[in-house]
Amino acid sequence: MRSWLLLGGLALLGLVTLGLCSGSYSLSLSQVWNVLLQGPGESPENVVVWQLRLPRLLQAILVGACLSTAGAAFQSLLRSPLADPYLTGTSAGASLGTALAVVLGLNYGLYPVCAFAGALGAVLLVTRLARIRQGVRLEDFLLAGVMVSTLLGSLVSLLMVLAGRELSRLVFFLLGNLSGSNWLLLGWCLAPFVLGTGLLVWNAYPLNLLSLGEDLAAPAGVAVERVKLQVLLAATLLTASAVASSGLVGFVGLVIPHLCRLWVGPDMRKLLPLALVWGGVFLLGCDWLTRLAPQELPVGVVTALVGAPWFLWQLQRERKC
Amino acid sequence: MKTTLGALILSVGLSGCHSTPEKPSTPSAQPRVVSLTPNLTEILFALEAGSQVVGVTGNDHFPPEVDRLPKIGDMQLNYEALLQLHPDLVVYDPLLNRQQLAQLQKLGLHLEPLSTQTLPEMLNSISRLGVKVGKPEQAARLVTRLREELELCKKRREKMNYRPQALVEIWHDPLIAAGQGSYCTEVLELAGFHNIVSRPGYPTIDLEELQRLDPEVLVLTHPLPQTPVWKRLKAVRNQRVLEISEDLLVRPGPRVVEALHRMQDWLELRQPVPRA
Repeated sequence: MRSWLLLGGLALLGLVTLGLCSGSYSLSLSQVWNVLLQGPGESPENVVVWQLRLPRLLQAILVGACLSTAGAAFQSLLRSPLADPYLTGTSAGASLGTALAVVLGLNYGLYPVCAFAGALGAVLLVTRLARIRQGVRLEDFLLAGVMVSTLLGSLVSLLMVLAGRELSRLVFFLLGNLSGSNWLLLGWCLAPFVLGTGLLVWNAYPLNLLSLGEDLAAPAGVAVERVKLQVLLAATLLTASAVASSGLVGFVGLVIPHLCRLWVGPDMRKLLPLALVWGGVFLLGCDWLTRLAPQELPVGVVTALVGAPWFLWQLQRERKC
Repeated sequence: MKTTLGALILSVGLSGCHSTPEKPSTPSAQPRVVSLTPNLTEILFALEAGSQVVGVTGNDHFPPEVDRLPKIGDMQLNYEALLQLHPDLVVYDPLLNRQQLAQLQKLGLHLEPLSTQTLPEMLNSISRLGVKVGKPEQAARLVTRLREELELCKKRREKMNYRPQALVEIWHDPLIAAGQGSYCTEVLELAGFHNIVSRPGYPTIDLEELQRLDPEVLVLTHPLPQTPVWKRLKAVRNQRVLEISEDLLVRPGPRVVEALHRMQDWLELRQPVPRA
């Protein structure tokens, strides 16, 4: 595990350096270094590095980390390899929030707020639907999540038809897009990120026990319902902040946890930190690729295009061993 | 994908260039007309044929009278509503309405393609439209007036000593600019600017490219984004931002003269920025 974590850290460092030096405004490594030492300023080079590239790179890492840890948590909690962070209605809720903001013509600064509110609203609805007497049944939670997502998704389609010219914003949101990153947005994401990952790490060991089954975990001293709720809440917070800031970046939350599990096994105490780092590495790498294209692509297109073959290759290799 | 988006966005704002087989024109002297693009509607009203217009798209807002007319959809046409109006003539732009053309041709309507992607094409289309709607004299007068006005603008441009490099924003998120060979660039250069964007058509410009181009003047059709990236631009710091209504600049029609006057008035009030 140590070596994978170290490798991830090195990859992050390498990709950040690469990302700082590439883009349509040509800057050499030494220029970038000088600008970084200067601190934020007014010159064009400075604006490119401090206002465009740096927030975007950090945003990619943060969003990748959020989605990947949330995915790992959902997969472990729901004991389903197909679980991903969007399963619980967050994506549909956030899309609906954004679509409403677009159609109502709200200020752009409010889009992330609406997305966040939509995501939380959807998850509360799903949890409410899946709640029976004293606890949440996970099967019901899954089903309610799928149904609420479908329902909200159709409302989004309806609004898209009404959005007319503003449609382009929605399309970019639905495909995932990091080009709108800025420091304010990054700051907004940081609190849910810290809170969410903190809660998950806190619950890592109970989650391990819980994955053996609720009947076995309870006698081992796990407060089953409390752990379930805390994990759901934490994973939802992480997903909602990722979606609110960068739209629906697909694939990261589904596949990076699997990949990490292939490397270190299902122990959440090892899996969570690894998923956190590699989620960041993966999204940062994909975002770098989008910026190489002659026309900038939405990052969500690249994550699946690069991620699916990579994952299949890893899976094949692992099966042969 | 962004190219498609750009085309999508533009097609709503603009109002084209391959020929379709023409059907024999109907004998009616004052045909009932449906216009499928806002700029053709503007031309119809300028030809005093407004009373013959029986249907327009949801994107039409000029002149104000069109608000009361039946709408037949926007990006997505409502073909039944179109047929319900029993038009004698349907005017469209062969470029912007190309996706709807196959369907339109099945409806047995009298279709008239009118291209307006350049100023000469637009003047030519005005003449042809005038004949089609029974207003040939009005069309001839309008074309003569527009030619004279355009000529005056050219003369006025010759006298200007400030001919800055400009970037024309057509859409703000993502940033789409007018490129070489586009109608907007033709108007921009006739006014006296030079277009700093060298790519053709209507390219998407990422924000780093915007920093690299750092144009002397920004011509905006939407409010200036209040972000550090935009505020740092030379044009913004030197207060060389010209805001102009999107309809005036983007829709090829008789109001092009208004757009030109507005840009030239702005230019004449300014001097080259002294080098720091």
